[in-house]
Amino acid sequence: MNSDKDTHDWSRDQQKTAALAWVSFLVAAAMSVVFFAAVDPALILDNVDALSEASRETGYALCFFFFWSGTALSAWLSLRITRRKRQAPRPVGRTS
Amino acid sequence: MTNFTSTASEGLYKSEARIYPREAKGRFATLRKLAMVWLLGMFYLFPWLNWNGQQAVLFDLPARKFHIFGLTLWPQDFLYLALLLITAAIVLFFVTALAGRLWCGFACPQTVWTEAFTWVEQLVEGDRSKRMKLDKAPWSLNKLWRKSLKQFLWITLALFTGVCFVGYFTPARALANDIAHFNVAGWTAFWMLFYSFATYGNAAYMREQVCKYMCPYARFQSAMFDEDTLIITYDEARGEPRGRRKRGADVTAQGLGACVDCTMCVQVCPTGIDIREGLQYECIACAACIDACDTVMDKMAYPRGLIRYSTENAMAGQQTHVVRPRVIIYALVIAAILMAIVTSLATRQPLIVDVLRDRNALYRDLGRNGIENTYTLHIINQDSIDRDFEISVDGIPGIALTVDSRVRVAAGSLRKVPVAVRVQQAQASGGHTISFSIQALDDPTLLVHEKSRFRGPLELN
Repeated sequence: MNSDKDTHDWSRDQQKTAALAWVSFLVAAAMSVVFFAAVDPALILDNVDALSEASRETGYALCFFFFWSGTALSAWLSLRITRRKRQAPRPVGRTS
Repeated sequence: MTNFTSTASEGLYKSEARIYPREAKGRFATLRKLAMVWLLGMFYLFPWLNWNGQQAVLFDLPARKFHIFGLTLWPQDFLYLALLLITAAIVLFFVTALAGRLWCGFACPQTVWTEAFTWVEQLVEGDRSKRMKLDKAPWSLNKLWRKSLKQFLWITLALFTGVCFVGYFTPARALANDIAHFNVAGWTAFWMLFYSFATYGNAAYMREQVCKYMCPYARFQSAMFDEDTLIITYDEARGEPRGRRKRGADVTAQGLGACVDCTMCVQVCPTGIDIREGLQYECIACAACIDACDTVMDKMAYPRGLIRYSTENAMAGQQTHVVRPRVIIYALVIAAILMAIVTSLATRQPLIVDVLRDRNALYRDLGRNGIENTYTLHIINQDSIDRDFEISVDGIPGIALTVDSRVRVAAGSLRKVPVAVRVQQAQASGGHTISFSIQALDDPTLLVHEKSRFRGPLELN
């Protein structure tokens, strides 16, 4: 609920979290479409004992979340390792 | 010096006021509303339409069949769907190169649903100034009922959106019946709520933040831009120096440009930018500022178009080139893919066969009768008439089917045919590649070969 605050723009962390979640979601969705065009989830479920009774819908959903967790993890790691240390502002106002 | 430090820190942590977009009226606002009604109309209507007694548009994921107005697509046809999606992406590039972010301003689901949710908000809470006043006011009965009604309408709209979305993937009328009886299957309910929640979050709260911080297209669309791309721009030469003035005042005597500095262009902007500061990546090219400015120009009896669609070249007084290498290349690629799709569809055989080897048993030793392997043939007859097919197999000397080789497959359906294949002991050891042939009896040219493996006992020497 932003309506009671007088600022609305997101902080850096919010921006990063939102970008991470959304972009990884889109990529996972695209991966699912391509993957399931070639593979019938029923065939995967048949090979997993615990899931052999599960429906195709379960297969679609589990694979999608598997992809999403992978894309999100890789995006998160990329953000972590490219993070720069916040530098103290350079002293200004001194002329050499 | 203090100036320098303050701008440096503002660059990273600039906090902006919440954006209350004012409603714009004019040519482009009308176009935008028409686009919204058309696009949302299609989205909300299609799942409930029937075509020849079947849901008109149904991406039946549980059955792995797509129905689009009488056309049935099988998983094997996904190539066409993929090619169509690629074509759509390049068409997006093409349009962006020519006309800028038309997609963002008029057709993106984020824009369209934000427009719908803002419309509901305006209906309940009033126009921009009323909404700002209501948000600042302390809680009262008036504020409470308006906020509750808005939330109720928003949530209802979001839930209906979720139901329609899932209705594209599972038969919609049966789904509506299930919902009425509180009997919705687990995953169906989950995806319904998931999409509802995403719609509510994106369109009611995140709005322009999605375009600014989350959308990948917003970031790479500039790669499609050049000096001849249509952009929304403020005519600085005509507008500056800006300043307030009385109607009919002698502008030249006051040394003022055409901009009356009414800030209407800023107030209507859904992303809260000032177009007079030049082209910014936040601009989704919705043209609300053009409408707002034209209205003011009309009131002042100035010519329209202080803010207008133009190109960088035109603004610099040079000629705009509509046909240019970038545009030609995009057009050629689109034409090539479309031709490939058409050719491939025209030469497509309406028969698809998949061979699945029975994985539970490697082989069956029948002693003197040889070695047997079992397979399931998925025969898909994509044609509109029922057909009889003849199955045969070769690849090993003496290989033979042990089941009836003729099958009938109904029009537009898949038949799973279990078959057993037998090979004499002498030829059976190890692994062999074999080939099944499926041929239509009424049309010998309708013939598909499909390879598989035959396994026998390993020879132990």
